Amino acid sequence: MRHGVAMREGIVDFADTAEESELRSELRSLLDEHVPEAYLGAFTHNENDLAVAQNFCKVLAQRRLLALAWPEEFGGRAGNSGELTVLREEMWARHEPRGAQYMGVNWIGPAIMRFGTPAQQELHLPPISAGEVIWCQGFSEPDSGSDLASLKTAARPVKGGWEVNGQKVWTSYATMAEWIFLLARTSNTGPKQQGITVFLVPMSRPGIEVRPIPAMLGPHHLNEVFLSGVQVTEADVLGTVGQGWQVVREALAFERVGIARYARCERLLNEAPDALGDRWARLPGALKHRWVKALVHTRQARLLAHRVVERHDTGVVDPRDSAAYRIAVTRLDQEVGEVLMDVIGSDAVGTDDETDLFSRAVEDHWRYAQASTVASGSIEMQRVLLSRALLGEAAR
Amino acid sequence: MRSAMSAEAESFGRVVDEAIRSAGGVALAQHADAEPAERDKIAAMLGNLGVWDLEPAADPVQAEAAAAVCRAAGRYALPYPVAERLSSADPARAALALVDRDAPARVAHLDLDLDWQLCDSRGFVAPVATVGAAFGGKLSRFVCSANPGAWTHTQTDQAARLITLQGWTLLGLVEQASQLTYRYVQERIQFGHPLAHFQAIQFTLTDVAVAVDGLAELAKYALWSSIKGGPAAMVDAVALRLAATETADTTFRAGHQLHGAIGFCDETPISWLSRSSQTLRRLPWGLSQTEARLVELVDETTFAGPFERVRTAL
Repeated sequence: MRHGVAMREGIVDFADTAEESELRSELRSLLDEHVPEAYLGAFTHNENDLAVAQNFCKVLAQRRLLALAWPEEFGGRAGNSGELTVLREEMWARHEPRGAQYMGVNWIGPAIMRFGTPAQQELHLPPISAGEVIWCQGFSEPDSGSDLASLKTAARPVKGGWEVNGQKVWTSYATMAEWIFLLARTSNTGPKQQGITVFLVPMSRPGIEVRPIPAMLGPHHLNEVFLSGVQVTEADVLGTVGQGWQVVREALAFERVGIARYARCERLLNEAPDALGDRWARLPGALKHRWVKALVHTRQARLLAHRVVERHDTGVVDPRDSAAYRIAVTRLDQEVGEVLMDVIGSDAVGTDDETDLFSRAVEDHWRYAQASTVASGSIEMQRVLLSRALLGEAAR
Repeated sequence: MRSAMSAEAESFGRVVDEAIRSAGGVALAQHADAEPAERDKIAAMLGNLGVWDLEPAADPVQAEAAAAVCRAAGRYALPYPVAERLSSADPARAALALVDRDAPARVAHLDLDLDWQLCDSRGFVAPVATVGAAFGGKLSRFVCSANPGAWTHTQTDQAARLITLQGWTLLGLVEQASQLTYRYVQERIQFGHPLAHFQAIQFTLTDVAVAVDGLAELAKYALWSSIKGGPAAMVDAVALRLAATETADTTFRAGHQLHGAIGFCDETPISWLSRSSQTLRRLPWGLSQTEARLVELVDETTFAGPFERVRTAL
């Protein structure tokens, strides 16, 4: 080439590495062995589903796969981000058989590694990596949703610590959780982001009451948590008193990619032709066009997730990347839900055929996907973040 | 996984980008519109940079360089068949055009003195028997009708490479159009604020950004697949074409709307980018035909991914 550069270097490569391939195989074997084909997640009215999840977490933990990316000293096997991505994809494609425990390994544990005292690390990290504990996050409140920093749950100083009073809402898994990652206000002076403190509190502590909120998503997803005179001490504080907002921001940075929603989308889209059998050929052409577009969008969402992970590995943390990915993947979840509900026709509203696993999975996916653009930061907030990255000061 | 292209390929793309920009950028489209022979100067300029020495079929890094060149050409709506030459068997003198054998063959820049060959997405190729005069319309300044010679069957790798490189050209077009629009809404003041101040406009542009970002990643995926070759390369190329066409719809609709009337005028780059994108988006298939072709391809093979359909009775 005339510009004088010899072209001999690494090129784009989207294949799994040998290690990633091996991990996929290992995980699929374990899933086939320990998770029933009809499993649609831990959060059903069938107690066996929760038992499957609890057992599967222990199976993973025995192989140091549950907290795969954690350092070995905390029960992980120091897996890299590519392997962590494989784990997330394989789990979500099979309706997340880690149940509520994904949260502990994804960001609560890493936050405790980053901000916790040696005593807190010793207390909390082994049970999380061993698959023995469920956490919930005490974030949202009735008047503090997207505007989380406006939270009002108050930790009032008392002898020996604080007394917490207030209410949390939309708290997933609170009925089954043993611990809560609780945000409370220890000071009312200064900007609203200041004066927030993180407390790690056992759910068994007196003064905590959980009330489930019945919802179309299914049981366990939404709960209220009432805090009345809950006593907390210095030993329960994660990080520095009054600096909880910083902890939350950094902790959620561990969760940039979050759950791999695109993996279940890809699996269900690809299962559709065989699941429908002869009916597939009779589907309207327009619906197949939507189906194939959804496949393309699924690949795009996966590649955007990988971009966030890859850039994070090289030290680039651009809020634009994660916001663009979150917008793409949450919209994808709903797009795929709509396409597949149309694909299964009248079975979309439910079926009395217990063997029709595909329709049941699609119906479950659609219901859960309704919340995808709301949960963990609404799509509007992601759009605001992305707008600021694109348009700078003019967007404020 | 490695989603970054080689430094050499990126570097070559920057050299070409800078050369096109220095030569006039989008104004080159305007010059060629007035004087079609200006395209010969573009060919010479790219030739001097070594673009026609690239061998994308022979070397993966050169395939990446070809993609980077097409992206640069797209950014300036360069009125020249860069992807078509780089996907031909001999970029030094030949060019390859994608047509639908069931529809009239229409190809942009077919009037240029190159050794043109026609191909379809099923592995058929044909020489060009006769060429009509350029249509000369606003969207078809250099589009010509072609009569193919005898069709013969071969592999689809070359056609997949062409569709992929055209996808890279469209990527450059939408990247530039989106950047122009982001800049315009920051500068244009209405009601006492930049347009970017208004949330309706911000949210419209987040749709553009997400689409363009997703397209950029998919373009690299399709390039990787075309380097590997085989039946999957065509599936992935058509998937890229689908996303590129969708993204162009989103980007240019927003771009035109937010530029207002000025965006239709010849004095604005987005007008040239928009009309130049049409040949890539319509020939030989529009969005619906691209979707239909992808449905067929996925049905014949599979859509690759960690959870792809595995069929035992193929």
